[in-house]
Amino acid sequence: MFGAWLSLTAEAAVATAATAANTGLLSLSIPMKGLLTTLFGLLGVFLVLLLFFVSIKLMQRIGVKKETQDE
Amino acid sequence: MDFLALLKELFSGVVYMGTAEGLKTLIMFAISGVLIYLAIKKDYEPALLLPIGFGAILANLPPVIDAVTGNPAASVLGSEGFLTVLFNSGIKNELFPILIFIAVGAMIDFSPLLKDPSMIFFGAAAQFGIFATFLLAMFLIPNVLPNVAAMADGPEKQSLILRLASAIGIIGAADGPTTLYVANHFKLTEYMAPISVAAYSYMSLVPVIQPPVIRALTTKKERMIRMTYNEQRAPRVALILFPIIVTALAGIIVPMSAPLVGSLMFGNLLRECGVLERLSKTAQNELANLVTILLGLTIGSTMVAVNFLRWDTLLIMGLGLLAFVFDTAGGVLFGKFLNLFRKNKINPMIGAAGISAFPMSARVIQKMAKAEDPYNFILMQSISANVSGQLGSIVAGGLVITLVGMMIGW
Repeated sequence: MFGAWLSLTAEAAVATAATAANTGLLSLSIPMKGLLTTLFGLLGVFLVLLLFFVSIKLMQRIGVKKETQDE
Repeated sequence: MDFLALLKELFSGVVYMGTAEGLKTLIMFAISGVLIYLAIKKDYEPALLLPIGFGAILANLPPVIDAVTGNPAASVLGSEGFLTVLFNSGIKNELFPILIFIAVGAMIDFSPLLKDPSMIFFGAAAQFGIFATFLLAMFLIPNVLPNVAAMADGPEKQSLILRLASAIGIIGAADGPTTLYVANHFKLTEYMAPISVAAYSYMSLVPVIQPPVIRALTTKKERMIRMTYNEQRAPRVALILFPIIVTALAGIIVPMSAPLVGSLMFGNLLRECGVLERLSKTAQNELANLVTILLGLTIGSTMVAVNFLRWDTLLIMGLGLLAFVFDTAGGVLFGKFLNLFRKNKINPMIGAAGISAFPMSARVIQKMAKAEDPYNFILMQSISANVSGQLGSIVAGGLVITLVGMMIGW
């Protein structure tokens, strides 16, 4: 019972926060929207490619280990 | 049906050519002719420019009029025209860009990148053009385009400006399918023709656009920098794991990029798995060729005079060119910036290969390096940056869709 209430409350809180954030974004001026898109867009591309970089580094290690074992 | 009506139907095309609309048709024929000329005579991306040019001719043919009802009858366009059918079944539902990416993935060899992963950041830096152009377009659209300027201020106008600016900016992805994907996602059907023509034609003009920008931003000494290359082959397990992990990561972090990344990486997995040689070859050849024909023809079909002969087209073409220039500059300047901190200097020209035009951009960089120093071989590093650009542009496309979607409440 309490669990269900807690989950319902949490869901409602998340939904309210998301709506508030979305409404906040919608009410921004166009230049601000543009600047935010540019900033987060560029940062996002670097972040995702950084993750790819880390994963390649990890895969290189796995690959080298496996080839050493095979030999 | 009387005799006059019969004549009217028979010669409706000739009559049409004498009207103002007919003049526009002639202009579109001339533009199509230029595209076909560039494809055949100059060999600029003939596989795309030729079908686009021919598609544009088809799309601008005089409408067929039913003599009995006086209404437009089924032609190449119209609700039942074969080009409309192709558009609805391949572009509107984003199928063709996805299929093209499977083919492209099967053609790409990621091993140079797996051997030298530090090159991946050039694939991010060279996306600078997308965002710089996006900002520029955002300020120009409401001031230059009469139809947008005439709109009343409000959320609808804001939405159109941001959607259009993002579709124009994404031309800088130097990646036709991603450009189409974004433009289509934002329901910019009437702007699709200039956007896709700009994306594909500038891709083919990379050898013309990039060298002057690179020369302007680098010294001869910088262009002569030699780089060492690790000859050791990339582990096979890494080549197989790479497409799977990239798909999962991109899908989790930027879900909007999942269809494009997923299809690109699926194609790459077909290539690298080593047990599906036949499917890999089919993706690289038959699938690529078939979809290229259909895609080109369908893009050409969007070049209807009424949608193309407008101020928007000039603005889109101009900004698209700037996007490529900004991309190139972003990559080169990033290379120069990294050199401030590195002991082993990078040839900053490699940064320009961080755009998605694969493998043309890498070849251009190698050609420029060779022109400065005949024994300088930086092709593999350029290829690494170039394939990173493929990934970077797709991720940027996904991010633009997500961020702009949030800003306009889509």
